[in-house]
Amino acid sequence: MSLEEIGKLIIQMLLDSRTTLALFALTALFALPLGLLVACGRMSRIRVIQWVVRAYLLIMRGTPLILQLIFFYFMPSYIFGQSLPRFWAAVLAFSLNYAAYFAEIYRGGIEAVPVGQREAASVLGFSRGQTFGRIILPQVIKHILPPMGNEFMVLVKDTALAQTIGVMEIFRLANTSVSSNASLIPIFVAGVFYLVMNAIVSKGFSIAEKKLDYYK
Amino acid sequence: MDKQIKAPLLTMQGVCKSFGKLEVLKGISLTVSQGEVVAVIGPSGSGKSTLLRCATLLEHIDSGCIRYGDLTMAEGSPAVYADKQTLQKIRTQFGLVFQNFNLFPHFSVLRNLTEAPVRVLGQPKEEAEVSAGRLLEKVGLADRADAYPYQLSGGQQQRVAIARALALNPGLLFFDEPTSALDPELTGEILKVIRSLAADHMTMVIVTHEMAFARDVADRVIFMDGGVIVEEGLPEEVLGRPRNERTRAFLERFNQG
Amino acid sequence: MLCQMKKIFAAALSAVMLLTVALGGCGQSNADAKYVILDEALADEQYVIGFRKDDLSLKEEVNKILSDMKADGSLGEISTKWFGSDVTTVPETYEKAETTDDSLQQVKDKGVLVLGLDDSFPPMGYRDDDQNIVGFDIDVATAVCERMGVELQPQPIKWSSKEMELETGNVDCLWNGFTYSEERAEAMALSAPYMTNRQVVVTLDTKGVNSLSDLEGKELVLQGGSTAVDALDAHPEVKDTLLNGRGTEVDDNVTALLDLKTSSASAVLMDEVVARYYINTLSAE
Repeated sequence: MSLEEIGKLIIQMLLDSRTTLALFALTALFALPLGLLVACGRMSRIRVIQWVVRAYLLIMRGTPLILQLIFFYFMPSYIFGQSLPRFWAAVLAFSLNYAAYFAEIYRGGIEAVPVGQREAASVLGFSRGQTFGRIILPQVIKHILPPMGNEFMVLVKDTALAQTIGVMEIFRLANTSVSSNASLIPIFVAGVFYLVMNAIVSKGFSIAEKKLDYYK
Repeated sequence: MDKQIKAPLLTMQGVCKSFGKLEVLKGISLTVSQGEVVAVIGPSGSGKSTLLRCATLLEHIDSGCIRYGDLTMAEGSPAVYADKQTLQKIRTQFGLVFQNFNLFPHFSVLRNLTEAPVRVLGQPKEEAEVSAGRLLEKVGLADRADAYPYQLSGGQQQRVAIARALALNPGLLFFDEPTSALDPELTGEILKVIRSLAADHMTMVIVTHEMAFARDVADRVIFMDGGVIVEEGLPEEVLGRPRNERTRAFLERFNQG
Repeated sequence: MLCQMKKIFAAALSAVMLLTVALGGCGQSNADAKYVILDEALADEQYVIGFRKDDLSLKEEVNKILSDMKADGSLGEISTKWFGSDVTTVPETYEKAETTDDSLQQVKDKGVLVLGLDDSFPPMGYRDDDQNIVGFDIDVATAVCERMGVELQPQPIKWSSKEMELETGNVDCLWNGFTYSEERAEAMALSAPYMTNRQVVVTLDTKGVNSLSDLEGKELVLQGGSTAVDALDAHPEVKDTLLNGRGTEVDDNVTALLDLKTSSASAVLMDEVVARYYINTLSAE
């Protein structure tokens, strides 16, 4: 490939990286609160809720993400005769899948907060909501930042799987470009894109960790 | 003797509590009057801590009755608890100091003291901070208001915890082995604070292993074993001339250890 | 923060440059070796267009238009543009069969024909430098749609999911160097064959492979899931003599061809039209 062609490719990749970034951001946006909800369900004292959530966690973590993408894209058309738009099917699959992983991280974080914190809050008269929002959650966030950083970096790379259902993200662009140019360079250019995105994610998390470093 | 004439602050009658098949409290009856300092002693597993946890709503009793002044917390067999509002009202009448302090690590010392008055009682922040400052002065930590718990020694953390419990202005303060998590050389500062509270006529129920301290500060000593109150009375009676065989055995073992 | 972003970007750019130089270097070290296609082919294949099994009226209409285009020379023109001569095999006259379904009417009603393709299959359907989907099939399909009075909408899909994409109605047809097979004829409605393709053996002139029999004990590379796999399976007399008794499957044809230059692999089995396109591109570099 000539430098001019590579330049063109980089510009196109910058444009397509909007899809990758949107997929990443929307997944985080939906999966973070959903994961917390799932974690609460997992720790629920009501048996039925616990079973449902356990089954959900097993399915989401026990089957390949690529299969889930295919499922959420093709299943609706068999049931309702209409597929979701490709991008939104990908957002749905990614959100449900990542919420499962996030939930287990939340659960670990919540269980890592000593039970004495909850008891101290209870004796001081805090309501359940106040206890969770003001006492438990801030400590949970500190606990879960490192594993969350991990998951976010995996998510950046996993967005490449969206091409399975025809979403034009940067790895798909790289693949088609490999074919039409008969050169492997586009794949390595895409690699640099992922690297840059993850460098930013990683930096963001280390800034957040530093911000929460004021207490132990 | 005139203390017993006053209306009891805390009344417990026939309180029973089991964890599964294990009976931990087998019918405890106990009253604590205004201004009284009660020390609860006994071997581990005797139910002392469970008694405090039941009195502070951290555990629910199976049967019996717990009353704060004229407010009933729970009553009957099986015990029926009062509605949420009453329970919340009762919660403001007592404080609990934990063995492990349980300070909120993400709040500064000052915020540990002001968070509950502001969020629970709705006090204005400035007002809460002024009274928190006074309490910190009282426990000798006025200069550490901006520190975080991890920056303090165990003794200092426990003193903050006492101040935090006092911040809601409770009528009754429970201590659950307040010195057991501390190095021996740090227990003195805690006992000093509790002594000064006693001098201010603070009503307190203290679960402790410090016999000398119990003898020194308590108006009454309760010896528990196997989920029942075996013996209770003046410190010099229970600790000096125990009538019950089990009390004697415990004190002997304790003095040897 | 801005300063840091600049640093990261600078690092990224230098990484791209380094890779470019490194890869460019690799290619040049083997520049003297030339790609050649063996005269012997493993299989002759027909390219067809795949429709849903019940969409007969749509299929008949496309068949008819293709024959009309063959007759008036416009199909030959497109073929000449891509392959240098008219290689199409469409008959000049076509009698439409009776159909009762409304698939043609449905396409006309919505005004678009959605064409499912793997947009990494040059020269049939792929992306040019400006990311437009182009290719021989795309040119023909555009002309067909024009005559049907509808718009062509090429929809890139994952090729391994093509049957599901078609069945669930996400695409109206598969038109992308789609090879005829009996299984496919069973599952779908296939158009009349419009072009002949062969599975050919591509090698380097330095590899010493001049005929199929020279492949004995050698490594043959091919794209996993492609019709090349079927073609090789259909010729056990070739397959059994290969190194380890089977071909080496890789993800795509480009990787396979580049493998020839950098590894011990001796030859690649692939579609002739694709092979000719790549050999032109790779030799032009």
